[in-house]
Amino acid sequence: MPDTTRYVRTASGSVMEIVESDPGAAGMPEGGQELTDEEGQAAWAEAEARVTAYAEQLRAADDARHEAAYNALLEAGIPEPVARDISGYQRAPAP
Amino acid sequence: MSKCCGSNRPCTHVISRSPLATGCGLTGGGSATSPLTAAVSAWPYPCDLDTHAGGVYCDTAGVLRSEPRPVYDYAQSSVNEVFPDNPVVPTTANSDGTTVALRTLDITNPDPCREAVVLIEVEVDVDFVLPPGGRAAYFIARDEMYRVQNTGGSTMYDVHTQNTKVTGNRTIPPGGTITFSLDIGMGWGAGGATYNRVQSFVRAMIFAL
Repeated sequence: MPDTTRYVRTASGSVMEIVESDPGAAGMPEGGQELTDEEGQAAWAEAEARVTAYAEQLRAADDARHEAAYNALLEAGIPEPVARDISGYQRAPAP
Repeated sequence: MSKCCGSNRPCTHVISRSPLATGCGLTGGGSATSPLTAAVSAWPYPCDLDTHAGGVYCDTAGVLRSEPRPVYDYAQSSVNEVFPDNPVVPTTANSDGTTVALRTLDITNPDPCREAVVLIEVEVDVDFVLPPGGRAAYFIARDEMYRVQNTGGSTMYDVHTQNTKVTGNRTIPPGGTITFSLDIGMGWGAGGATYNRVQSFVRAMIFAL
């Protein structure tokens, strides 16, 4: 028998994609809600988007912190390549 | 008319004195010097025949039968769970961790006759996001399997590694079903470490031999 796939939204808001050799064999987490395939795929995409958005938020904060360190080092008279190396600032210098 | 069996009823059967015809599995002519005998092989094993040999049975159709045939089965489930709220890794600092997910699998013995043994293998993978100084660990069945810390100056995204563990060696009664439960834990969280995904496999190999 081929494996089957189903989607569940848990009580905490996470989204599960469950693949089973026997339908239902993996049970249902307490407080979980079974989703249709269409609902599950939409919930999955939304959850992935929120994970990506959080990563982008952190990335932007990293960039801002690195840029501030980079500028501070330049203002302190540190040569540009050294300031870039120390700060971790990765943006290419303006031409 | 001849009489037999001490009665006046006529004989309806006679005892043959000619050799019995035998087929596969039987030998002998049915006489005292050549008794009708099951044709068997010599016991070739070092263990005791009386203790360890299987039985021979007669079914409802009068056919000789041996012990039940060996059966096996395989069951598995995988779960890919995404956490849109990017939860913070628990700070639990001990060897057990804090349970953050449970996975279950119903496992059925395909043999209605005999107890089965089931070997269960699990795999777990957790995606961590580690800001500078961030630290996280995950546990399989309360055993710490992976710990990582970001000692650099930039965030590490989706840091993960997949670990496996053979965690179950259990028995299932004839025709019965057990529910296996896998505890996935986390701990040693620090520095704003979060997780966004837990993937797992539970694989069961079931044998009734």
